Amino acid sequence: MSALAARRHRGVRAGTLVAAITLSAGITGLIVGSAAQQIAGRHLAVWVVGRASAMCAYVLLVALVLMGLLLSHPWRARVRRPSTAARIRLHITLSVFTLVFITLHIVILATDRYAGVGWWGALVPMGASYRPVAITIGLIAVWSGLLAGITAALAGRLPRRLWWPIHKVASVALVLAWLHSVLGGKDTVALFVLYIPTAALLVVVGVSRYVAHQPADRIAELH
Amino acid sequence: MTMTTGATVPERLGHRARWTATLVVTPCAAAVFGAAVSWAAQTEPPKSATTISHAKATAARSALSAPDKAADTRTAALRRESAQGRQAATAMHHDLLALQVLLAQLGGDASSADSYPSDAADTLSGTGPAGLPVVTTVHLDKWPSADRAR
Repeated sequence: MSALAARRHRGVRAGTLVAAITLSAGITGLIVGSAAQQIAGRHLAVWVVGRASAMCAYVLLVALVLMGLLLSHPWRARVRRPSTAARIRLHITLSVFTLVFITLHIVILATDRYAGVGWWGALVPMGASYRPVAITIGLIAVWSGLLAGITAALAGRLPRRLWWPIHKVASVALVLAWLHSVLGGKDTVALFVLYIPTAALLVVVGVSRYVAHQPADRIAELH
Repeated sequence: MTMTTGATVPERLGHRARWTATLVVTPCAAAVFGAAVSWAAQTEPPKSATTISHAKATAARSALSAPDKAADTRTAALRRESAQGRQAATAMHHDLLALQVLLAQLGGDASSADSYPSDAADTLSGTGPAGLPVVTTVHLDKWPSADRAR
């Protein structure tokens, strides 16, 4: 009887998983298909995708850093749901998606002639013909972000006192990415609607994270 | 408080959290991307602006070739003017010769106008610059300056 219940439980779980995957994939396909229809036939469709991927990467990066701040926030225990494991998985998944969209952004702008960046500009500081300073800042942001991500990926293999200080370079990556977004684009409306509120939110959460920090938390970080 | 971030992540996190995160983040990221595409499509520069470099290159090529065409046209016009000037000079030269012959005839009428043989004469005929007919008989052997003018 218990074996039958366990089998039924496994079946329900598998069915739920399949339904969740179908739902997630369906919603994703619907949104991506709609976006593809919007830009189909446009003379700058590639450039539009490159810009959209940058905007998406910025939003995901903000969510990623917010999740990281909340994970290490002294008040994190006050929030029970989602679980710590789910939050960490969310943080990791956000980092993967951010990397995917940053890669898409770089590849598109490196191959699109209209962007005026090219592979040289995308990989070498001050190598772009279009706004070389802004693109160089973005390049350094990618490097520092990769450093933060690689050290975090080694979190299970390295002692915390080694990878945790290096992982904090992610804040530098965020600041540089923000500067790259502001200096690289020329849409003042987007600047006020997206960049300034997100920056303010991150500053508030970051300040609260360090203000609420207790000496005991600092000692715990070293272990 | 203890920090739970990172250090033992791979070991502790279960498949459920992984699936949940992936299944939640994927459509959310797609939604953000779709919204970003809609916004970016609205900020797309007009086609005229995107083809400005091509237009500039075309204009530069035209600017390079335009002076050549103008120079060719100007040269042809100058050549035409030069040819017309040469024709006018020739006509004026003929007129001058005719006038000199007339002058010589008027000066020699009294003495020897009929003494020249007819086969030694060189006949000039034509139209002067003003359209006046110039028809006369030139006796070149009797007028040394006519040889120089020829």
